[in-house]
Amino acid sequence: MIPKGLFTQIAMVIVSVAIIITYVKPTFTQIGEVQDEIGVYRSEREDKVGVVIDKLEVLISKLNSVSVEDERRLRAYLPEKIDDIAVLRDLILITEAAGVEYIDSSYVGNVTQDRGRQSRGASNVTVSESLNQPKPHQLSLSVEGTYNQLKNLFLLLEKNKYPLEVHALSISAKEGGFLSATMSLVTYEYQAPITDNTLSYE
Amino acid sequence: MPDLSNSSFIPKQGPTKKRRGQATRQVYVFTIISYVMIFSTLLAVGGVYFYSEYIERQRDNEIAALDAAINSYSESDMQKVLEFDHRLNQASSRLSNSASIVSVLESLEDAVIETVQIESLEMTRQGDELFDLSAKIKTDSFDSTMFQRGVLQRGKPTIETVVLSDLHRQTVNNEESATKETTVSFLAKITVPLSVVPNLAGASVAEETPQPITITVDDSETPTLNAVEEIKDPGDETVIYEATASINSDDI
Repeated sequence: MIPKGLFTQIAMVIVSVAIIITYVKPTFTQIGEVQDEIGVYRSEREDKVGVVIDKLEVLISKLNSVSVEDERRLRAYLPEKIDDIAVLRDLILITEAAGVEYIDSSYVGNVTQDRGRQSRGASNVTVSESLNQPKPHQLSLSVEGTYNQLKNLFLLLEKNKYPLEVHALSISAKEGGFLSATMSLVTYEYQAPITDNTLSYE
Repeated sequence: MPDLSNSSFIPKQGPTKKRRGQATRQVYVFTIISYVMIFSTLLAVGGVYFYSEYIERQRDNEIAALDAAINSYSESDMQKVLEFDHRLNQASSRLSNSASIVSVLESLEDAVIETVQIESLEMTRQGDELFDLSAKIKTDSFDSTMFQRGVLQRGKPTIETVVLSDLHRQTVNNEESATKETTVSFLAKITVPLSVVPNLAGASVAEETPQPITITVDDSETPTLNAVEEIKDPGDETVIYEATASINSDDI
């Protein structure tokens, strides 16, 4: 006859094994998964979100350290929108300052964005190679003067507070020692990127 | 009556107390294992339960911290930085591709010999790569033409390529002096890479006033590009033309 105690001990072992199989082991697995999740959340917070926020803070502090004057100059150099009347007025002032005789000026228009080169009117105007380039606007200017007056004009155009690039120039001799110059000028306005939500950190 | 109790030949044992032997309890290995198992299992259940509760709280805390970190990100700040960054990059791109027409003209001055006259000049900027120059040049002989060609060809790196074409030699009677004048005209096509053209704007700002330049003259009355004159002081009106050299593109 088998003693009663043995049945109890066998039952205890079976219950133990059952508990381990049905509760302890799955809970351990679950704990492992939760720990993995914690690791993922922590790495997301520290390595990705944290890095971005830290970088952003650094960039914001750098941005705030830019002086108002420099920011004003940057915005003048690359304005949101080209004011063609103001640009033409500036051209007249520049020609007066250079001492050349102003003949004519006109705003041709903005050059359509395209890859490569595109001609508009008589001159070839280079347009942005990339969409994330400033938008070019073309103007024409005709003046008369001596050679050195023309050089002075070009020097003042280069010293202007916004770009006035000479993309085409035609100089011919006139009577009385004067030269006639017709040029195609290009200035730029800021163009917000079309699709670019990324910021590269160097 | 005889006592029968003593008649047996079997010796009788006196009424002595039977000494009871000590009971031994046997403990089996299986018993130990079973108890150890049940108690350790119960202990493990408790530990696992509490640890899982703890770890889940920790996960919730991590999620809350991640949410807080994400919420601390400011989209408007990022847009501000991106806008400034793009504007700065675009400005930097234009600045780095700016080329001075004055430098090109001065390079041409250096490459033009005294006996030639430039009658007309066409210049076209080809993107951010080069300037195409087409100059109609007049001189007095083929020797001068060959010498001019040699000077232009030695003008590297400023002058990349030189091609002379439309060569004509004409003899004209000069009524005033009653002599015959010979002129040789040709078209010089010159390419100047933008990369070798310095931008004078930044340097000029520092100098405040442009320096006078004197160039060798040709005696001819025909207007030439290398006539003698000094660059005039632009005067007070140049106040409105501020240089942008102080923009620091390395900030961001």
